[in-house]
Amino acid sequence: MNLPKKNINIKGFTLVELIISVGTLALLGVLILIFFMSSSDLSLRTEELDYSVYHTNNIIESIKLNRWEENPLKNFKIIDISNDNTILSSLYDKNWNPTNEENEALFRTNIILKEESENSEKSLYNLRVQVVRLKKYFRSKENNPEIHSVNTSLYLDTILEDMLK
Amino acid sequence: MRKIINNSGSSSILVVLTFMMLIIFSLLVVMSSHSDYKLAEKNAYSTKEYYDLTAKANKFWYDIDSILLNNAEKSILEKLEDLKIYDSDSDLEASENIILISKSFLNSEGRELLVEFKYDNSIKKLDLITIKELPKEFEYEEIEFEDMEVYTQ
Repeated sequence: MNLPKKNINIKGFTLVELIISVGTLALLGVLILIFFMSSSDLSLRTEELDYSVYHTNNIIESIKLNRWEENPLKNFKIIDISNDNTILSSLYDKNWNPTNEENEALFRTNIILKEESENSEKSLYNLRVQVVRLKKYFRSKENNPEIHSVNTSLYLDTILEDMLK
Repeated sequence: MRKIINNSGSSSILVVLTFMMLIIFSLLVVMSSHSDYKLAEKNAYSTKEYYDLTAKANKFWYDIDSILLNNAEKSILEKLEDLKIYDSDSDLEASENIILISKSFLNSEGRELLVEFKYDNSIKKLDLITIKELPKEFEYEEIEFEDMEVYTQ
């Protein structure tokens, strides 16, 4: 029986073709990897920014209500009192739990309070709350990038010294 | 009839399609993350603006409280005059022993914060009674409302 004759090309790719294709695929692979890493970095930034906004609002509202004995204010420690500025600071780990260990800490929150003027019973305070990341982001040049900060003024019943007891 | 069979074509197509799919998905993921980040930034900016307006309201509160404390012995009408001199834009209402003060704070983005205070002359005390952000005014331009029949008994 005579079957139709088939010509099978068994030569495959040449070395140049292989080098070009592997090179192109490697470049595309790197591009894809950069896209995914940038995306993961952006997601991380988004999550941290959202939490920082929540955290900052929580701190300001707690100061308004004078809740220095409760979270989140109870974790703050005075680090400096100078030129009418009182600076308090608190460290947080990657899950936003308060920590005292500098090595574990990923975030630092600063409260800068300044008494602007006072009446007989109340005082006007200038308040700045700032959330800082202690480690660099992916492809970021800043060493301690500020995630979020809020400046405001508060007119409070309490005197600063009493608040910080 | 002579046929040339080359088996390398299908695998090449598969590799190219896989890479194209990966590139498209990675681009979509980056775009999605970017829009999420923009939204988070917008929220953060909006919060900052709110606290800027609150700061103005608190300074105003401090100023009017100082005026009222420094002139505690004056009559209610004299206090009203002092408050008018300090800020002619605020709305003032006075009754026998009470002064109601309200003021709106606007920012460059058009956001408006309304604060209302009540001063009781009998106990010489100023209280904040309202602090709220007013929604922006808008009108339906392209929607026409028909006259609807209202059921009445």
